[in-house]
Amino acid sequence: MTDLARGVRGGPSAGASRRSALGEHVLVGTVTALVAALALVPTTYLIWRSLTENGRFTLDHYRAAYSTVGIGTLAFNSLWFAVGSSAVAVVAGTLTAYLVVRTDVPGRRLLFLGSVVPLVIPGVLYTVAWIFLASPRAGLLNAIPGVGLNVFSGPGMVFAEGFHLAPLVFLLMAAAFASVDPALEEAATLSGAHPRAVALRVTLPLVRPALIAAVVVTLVRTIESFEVPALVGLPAGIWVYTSRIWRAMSIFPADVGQAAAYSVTLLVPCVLGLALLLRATRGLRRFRTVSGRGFRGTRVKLGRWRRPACLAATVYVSVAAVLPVLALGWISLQHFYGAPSTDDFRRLTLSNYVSVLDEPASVRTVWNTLLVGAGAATAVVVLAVVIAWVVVRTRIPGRTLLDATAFLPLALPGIVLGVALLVVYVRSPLPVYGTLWVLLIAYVTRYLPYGMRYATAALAQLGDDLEEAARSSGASRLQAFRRILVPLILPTLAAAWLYVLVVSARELSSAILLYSPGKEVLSVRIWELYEDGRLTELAALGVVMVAALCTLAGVAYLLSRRSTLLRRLARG
Amino acid sequence: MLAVSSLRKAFDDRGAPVRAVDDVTFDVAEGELFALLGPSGCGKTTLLRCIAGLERPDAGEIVVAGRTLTSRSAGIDVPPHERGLGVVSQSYGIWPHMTVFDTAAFPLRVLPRRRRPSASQIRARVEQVLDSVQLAPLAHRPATDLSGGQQQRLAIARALVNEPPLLLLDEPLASLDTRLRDELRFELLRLQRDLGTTCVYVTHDQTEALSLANRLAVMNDGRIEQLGEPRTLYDHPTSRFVAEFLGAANLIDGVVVSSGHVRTAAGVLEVPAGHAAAPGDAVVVVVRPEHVTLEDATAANGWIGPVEVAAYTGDGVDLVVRVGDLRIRVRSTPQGAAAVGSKVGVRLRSCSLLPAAEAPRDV
Repeated sequence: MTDLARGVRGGPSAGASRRSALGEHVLVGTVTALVAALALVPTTYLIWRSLTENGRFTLDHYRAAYSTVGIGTLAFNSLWFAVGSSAVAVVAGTLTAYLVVRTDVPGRRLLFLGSVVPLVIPGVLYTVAWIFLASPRAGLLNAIPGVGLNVFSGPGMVFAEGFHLAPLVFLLMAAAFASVDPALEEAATLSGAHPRAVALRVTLPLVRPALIAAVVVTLVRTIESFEVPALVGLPAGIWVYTSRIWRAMSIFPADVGQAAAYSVTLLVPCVLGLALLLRATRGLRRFRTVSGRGFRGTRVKLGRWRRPACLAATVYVSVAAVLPVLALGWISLQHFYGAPSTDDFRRLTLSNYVSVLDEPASVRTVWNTLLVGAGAATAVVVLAVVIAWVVVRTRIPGRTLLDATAFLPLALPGIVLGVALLVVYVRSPLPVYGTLWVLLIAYVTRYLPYGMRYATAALAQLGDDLEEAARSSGASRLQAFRRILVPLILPTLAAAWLYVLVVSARELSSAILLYSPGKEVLSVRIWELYEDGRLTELAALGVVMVAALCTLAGVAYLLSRRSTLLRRLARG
Repeated sequence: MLAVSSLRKAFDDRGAPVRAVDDVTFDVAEGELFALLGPSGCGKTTLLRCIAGLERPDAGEIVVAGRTLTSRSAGIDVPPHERGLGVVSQSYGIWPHMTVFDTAAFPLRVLPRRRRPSASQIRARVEQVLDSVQLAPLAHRPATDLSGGQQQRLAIARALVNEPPLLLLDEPLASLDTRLRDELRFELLRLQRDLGTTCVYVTHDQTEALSLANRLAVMNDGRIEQLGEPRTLYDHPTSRFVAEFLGAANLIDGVVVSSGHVRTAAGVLEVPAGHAAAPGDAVVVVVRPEHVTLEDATAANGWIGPVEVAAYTGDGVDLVVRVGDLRIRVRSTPQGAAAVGSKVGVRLRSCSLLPAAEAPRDV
């Protein structure tokens, strides 16, 4: 044996291993405490606040909240708004996903792009864009003879919300369709089934768990939706829970107790929905038929339906994605906002861009958005990786509880989180309220579940053997984590980081209650411009924002594609 | 070099405990290649992972080169990275973000600072170990560019780089195709004999175990069924399981009539004297097909019967000959072909005895 080997081998002291075990426990303990503080404290305070007044127990808030005139209509409105817009989103998203992933419809790349673009547009901008398109007097579409759209109506709310959520369904269903083993469909074809029978009796049942998940996700998202009910619903006199909570908080003096009572009620369907979703996605794993081999199957030949299908998809994508963006662009080039006329073509201007970008408030807002977004993204990614590692890789007791707690915020509507954090931090000795920190806390809470999804997926796809090989080669747990795990999942983490940055920049519903003057973020700024009626400048700011978000989302997409490549390499 | 004693490890399978390793004790001498052989699920991999420190046993002790790595009674459980062993797993665990050189250098680079060799020492040692597995020319290629056989050799190089006292190999050839497997089997043997490294080698392939090991243990249901040298286990299995697992075998029921004679359904057989069975005991006579020859039936242990099946395998012919109610499997040379239906004489040249009813295992 050489000298080198003698120096290399030999037992380190028992103290060293005890120290590293202690370090691990401290790390896990800290993370657990943080997650509990983020996810449980606001909810607990919220429930407590809805049941007390000046520290004494009372049911008055619920009594007041539910004896208001029109409370029956409120619940009914919330229900049909949720069901209606979910139906639009699920039908549109599923059909386009099927066409793009499984058929030979022409122009699939463009259809794919058009189907996901609304996802990047912030809800507040998307809603305002539809007001530009379909308000009764100044709507651009209403300039076409014979068209008489009114966005300030029940159907208007349903379609604006439904189209905005359809990309989410599209992504879920596209993944599901792509993972169906083509051999299963071929077997049906070879058994003599007509293509329509194959789609209905083989493909659809195979993607059923994903479909259930899509329905539940859209229902929860529409129940918690704030932008459409506030901007479109209120002028039409259609109240739902979220707009009601916002109203209770924005009157003077704010009726926090009543807002808390409404918020707690709203939590119930959301938590139920999340529980359902978890069950459905468990089924999803069971149903998975193909592992990462990539899609190689033959596409369904549409035959004479090829052109009509393409036309229908193009019309849908134009209405849901292209028109809103064009409307923003068009209004941003106008001198003033008003009924459209053919003269508008001769009076285009860039002055809105100059004035809105020149304003110190705008510059500050962009800076705030980036600061909070980057901070939230970093915190989410770090927390998510540690939690995911504990959950996927260790056998520490209580890890499932940690996992569930980290997912809990998914059931917390943004506006409800806003109310809850307000209740907590207005009375907290920490000087958080009135600063950007409260927004950071809100965003980290809200997007931790998304970060978790990235991190757990990345970890689960890396076999244990890579870490075990490192451990057997003499690397401690932390060394294996730092030198093997983190480098391998880095592209995924970068994608998660950008994703959180993008969704933070879009976020309005929690920020609307938590911002204070001088500490606005971009989405709040757009809201303010709308309230002030500075619509042409709003459009200019919106166009810049959409362009920036599209770029970020594109980079995130490329990064996550690279990480799939890396995973394929890892499998050898 | 390695001493494992009274090792136990149970897993919880939906409420029901499964004894993956059930009171296992064995020693491995310095420089020995010791094989753990058994069907999948017999606990051999769990046993290896306990030695590596990747699983924590429920009871028992593991001592390597005089250093206690695990002792549940003394509360010792050295974490895997402080054991200083070499491990090659079935999947090799080749990291996709490193080059061949970085992979092999990893165990040296993660050493605590005061024991870590200098960069130039590391380079010299890694080049040396890569050279010994013939990967030196590929040192700067990404590790995942390598072929399956090269990845396996890289995993071995990584395991050997800090000259461990003990090398653990978990089915290192299982994920390779047949031809490569034969080639690498001899390569592995050469490397082990050259370096003199003590090895524990887990496999489900009896050819690998028999050809590589100095000694081997056949495992079944978490226990060691039989432990010894390959030739002893093959020729003198002590249980039906070992007899059947190590290769094809004719198992013929019979009753001992005298020391050296067993009566079977097809007639009396001469068996080697010196067995433990007394006259009147029910026994099983184990005869390997290659110990049955096609020849004149008048000699001792010679029977006659029609050929039922004849299958040509290239390097020989597998026959089934019916003698009374018995079907005797025969491994013959390619020249020893006989037509199906024709009567041939078979002679059982070598056999060993098992007690007929295996003693019930205490649970």
